[in-house]
Amino acid sequence: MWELLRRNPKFISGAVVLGVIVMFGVIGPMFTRDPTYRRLPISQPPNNDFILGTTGQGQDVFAQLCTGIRNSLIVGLLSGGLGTLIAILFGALGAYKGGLTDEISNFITNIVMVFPVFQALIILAYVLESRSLILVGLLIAATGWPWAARCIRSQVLSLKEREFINLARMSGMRSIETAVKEVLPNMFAYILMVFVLLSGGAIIAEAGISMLGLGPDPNNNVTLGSMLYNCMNYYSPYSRWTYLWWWYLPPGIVLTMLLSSTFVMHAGMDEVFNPRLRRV
Amino acid sequence: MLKGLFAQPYVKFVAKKAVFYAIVIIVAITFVFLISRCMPGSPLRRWLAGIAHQQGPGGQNIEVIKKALEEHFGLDKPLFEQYINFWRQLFAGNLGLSFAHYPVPVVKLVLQRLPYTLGLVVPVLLISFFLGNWIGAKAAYVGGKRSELIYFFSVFSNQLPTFWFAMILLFLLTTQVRLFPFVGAYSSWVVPLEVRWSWAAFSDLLWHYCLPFLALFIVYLGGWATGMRSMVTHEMDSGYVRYSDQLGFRKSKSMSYAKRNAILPQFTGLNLYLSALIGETTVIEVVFGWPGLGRLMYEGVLENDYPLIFGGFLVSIFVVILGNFLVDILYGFIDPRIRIGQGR
Amino acid sequence: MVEHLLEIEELKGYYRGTFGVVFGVDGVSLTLDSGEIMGLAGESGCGKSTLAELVSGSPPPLLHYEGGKILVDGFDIYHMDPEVLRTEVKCKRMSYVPQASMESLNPVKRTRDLIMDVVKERTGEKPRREEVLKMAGEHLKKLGLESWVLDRYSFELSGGMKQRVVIGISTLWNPKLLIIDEPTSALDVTSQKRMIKALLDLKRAGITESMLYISHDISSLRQLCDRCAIMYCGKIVETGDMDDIINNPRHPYTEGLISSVVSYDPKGRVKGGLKSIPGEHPDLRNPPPGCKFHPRCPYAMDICKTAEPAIIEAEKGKREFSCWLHK
Repeated sequence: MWELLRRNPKFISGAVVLGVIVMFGVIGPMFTRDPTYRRLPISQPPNNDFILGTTGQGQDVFAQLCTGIRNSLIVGLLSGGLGTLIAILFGALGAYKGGLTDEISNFITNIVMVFPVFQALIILAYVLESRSLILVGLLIAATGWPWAARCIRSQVLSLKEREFINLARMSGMRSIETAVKEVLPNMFAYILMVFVLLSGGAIIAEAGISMLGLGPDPNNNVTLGSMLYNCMNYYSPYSRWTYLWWWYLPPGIVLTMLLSSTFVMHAGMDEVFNPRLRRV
Repeated sequence: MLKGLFAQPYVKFVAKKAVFYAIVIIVAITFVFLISRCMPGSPLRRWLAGIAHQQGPGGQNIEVIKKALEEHFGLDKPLFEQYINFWRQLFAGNLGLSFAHYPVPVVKLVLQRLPYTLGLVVPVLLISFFLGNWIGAKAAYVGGKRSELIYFFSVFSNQLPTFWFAMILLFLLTTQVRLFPFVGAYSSWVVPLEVRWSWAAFSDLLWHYCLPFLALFIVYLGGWATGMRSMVTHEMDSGYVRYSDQLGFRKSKSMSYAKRNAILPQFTGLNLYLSALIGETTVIEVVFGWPGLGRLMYEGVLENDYPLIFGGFLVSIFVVILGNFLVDILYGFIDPRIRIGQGR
Repeated sequence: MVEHLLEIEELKGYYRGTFGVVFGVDGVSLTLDSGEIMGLAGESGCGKSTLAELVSGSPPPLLHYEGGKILVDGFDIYHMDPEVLRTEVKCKRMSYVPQASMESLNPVKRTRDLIMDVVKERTGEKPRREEVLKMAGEHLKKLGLESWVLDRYSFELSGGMKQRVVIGISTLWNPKLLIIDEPTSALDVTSQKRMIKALLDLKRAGITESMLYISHDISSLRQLCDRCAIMYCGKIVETGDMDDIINNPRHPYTEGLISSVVSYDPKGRVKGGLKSIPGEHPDLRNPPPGCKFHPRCPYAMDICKTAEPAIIEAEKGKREFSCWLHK
């Protein structure tokens, strides 16, 4: 399995791009200036001193980008991880046990799914006055899990019917044992895909809510979304924000690349794990 | 006779959905109520803090104002009583009075702005659905290099964050090339449509409408195309398509069989996309200054106008629930397995 | 005047994919004359369905035609204009009823709409609705289906009914050759009997002249077929009249197949006990060298492991088998 994955071009290219971005986020902040330092010459386009120029408030864009990537990743991974756990709870447990448990968890999933997620985020973010990265991550996880629970549930249901589960049951294994030894390894690939997709979505959600000023406190935390927010709200008698392309293009490009790379990785994983898609 | 009506599988299906959505509404309203009343600090606190800040020292005694407002809004009664009152007010169509625009009722503000949001959401959703699915099906049918290119482009456009794409559009089409206006729904010299109808105002509105529409439309188009392409490719392998091929059908007819079956699961996507779209439209409205419901809520957040925020949220939920319900019953009608029931 | 209705010569068809190459059909020759019902028997995975799909002219995406000739009523299927294949051969001269016919009916169309579509596509013109429905109803009645079946969606019909609907649609234009792939495997015993009766009725009513009936079920083959071909590992190992094959099998594999069916003596007791062929059907990605059956053959000799036996014709075209035992 893993060899096929390693040779799959989509998976590799996606993973490489993702890896590069993560590197910027992890290593970058160690080598750049303090992103919140505000005394630099304002609104400079990219030049020899500043790789990506400076913002309207005199901050180094490149430094902001690296720290922004790191913080956005923190929110995304935290949210993705928590969301995946919730999705497993509501999806797998109900599907495996069946009966009333299934009805209840399915019902709850459906209700949360109908809620307009973003509006709920607005309300929740507004209600909590000070928002840290972690808090925002929790909020996004709390609203974004239903579709993942649905997917996991259908996957568990189809696995349940397969022969090897019945075999295990017939040979006397208890439910929990069967679940851990037989079901989870097969689900592992699927859960990984769900985690990757949830994290990607969480990063976008964070960016979106930051654009409304309801994200992690913009004064203390730089995220990709907060960069866009600051840019959009920048007013100056000399120029509109649209002219400062070096300020808002990089975060968006990074966001798009993050999402695209996860999607391409997901497509690659799908090709490997789903035999029907295999063509010559 | 009523019993016979309910024996019909389709009617049962619609009734089940109606009950479900009614429960969602109840949950949503309760959620709004609890959040608004159980917020850290009294709901009035932040707004009052704003006033105190404005007035500075020597202003009117904040405590007095607070007491008077609490009494007026019924915030000093026990929680359960407030809950009942909340429901009573809702049924009367009363969402409270806006703080910031006092004494304009929230309902009036919301209803004034709602058409602008719906004007973006509904066309984007419907047109991208039909066009995107058609593109995806065509790509699956034709195959080859062009199909791969379309697929790649669709995936890419779908990954763009709509709000960022909006910023790019603004950059390209308002400042580099002065093709479209920068902000708002109307130019400053135009009288808005809700005040008075005029063709001039309408065409001005359309001109302002283009960019927000495009920002959302292109991204969602990609989503449908990607999904439909894989659905159709999957259906093309199915037994009935191959059998129709063996019966000597023309390729186009076999494809229409595949498309007809592939589009059914796309309807569930319609529900998800509707919920997502309402959210994304909010940010788009803020970026473009489009006077819709989302922007209204944003303004409410800025001004700590909590009746407006929660009122707006409730209306958004109603819109989403109604939309979901309509899509569900439409789907139930189109799919004969639901309309007729699973039979024997 | 065409000699045989169906003539297959050294047909090769392989599956190609990321899993490698599967030698589904590896040099098969077969002839079928007008008026015959020919059976094609063998274990699961031996290549019978692959052969049928190749003959039908619409192989699934991963199956590739790799060589040889298939002549249906004189038409060389893989070396002709696809448009002529579509209009002249498919459904008119030859028709295919796939395995798992349950999946072959469009789930969102009623039977009558499906039939209307078939007629429209094949005749190229829009027919009169009442005429088509009348004709369809009468046709389906010959298969034992009532006219209300026309108004139903496929999911409202039972497995046996769906099967018969598919057979009905495939035989609308009285094709000379009907290829049926394992129609009885998904059915219960009573439905199986009904199915075989329906097929025999079809022949008797003159709707089809000949059939290629594919199954692994010896008992149904026996009831239906005049002649039979036994297939193993992508090749045909024995051909002959049905009775001759059952009473006098020449190839060890055929012998094993026949004796693995339970037979009762006149007193109702099981005769001869249950025997089975040891081992499993080989993976067609890696067929064994020499005679493909040698790993499981009780009479395997040294030569069987290295060289493929030639086809011995006891009666040219009528009785053939390939085994080193009979020289």
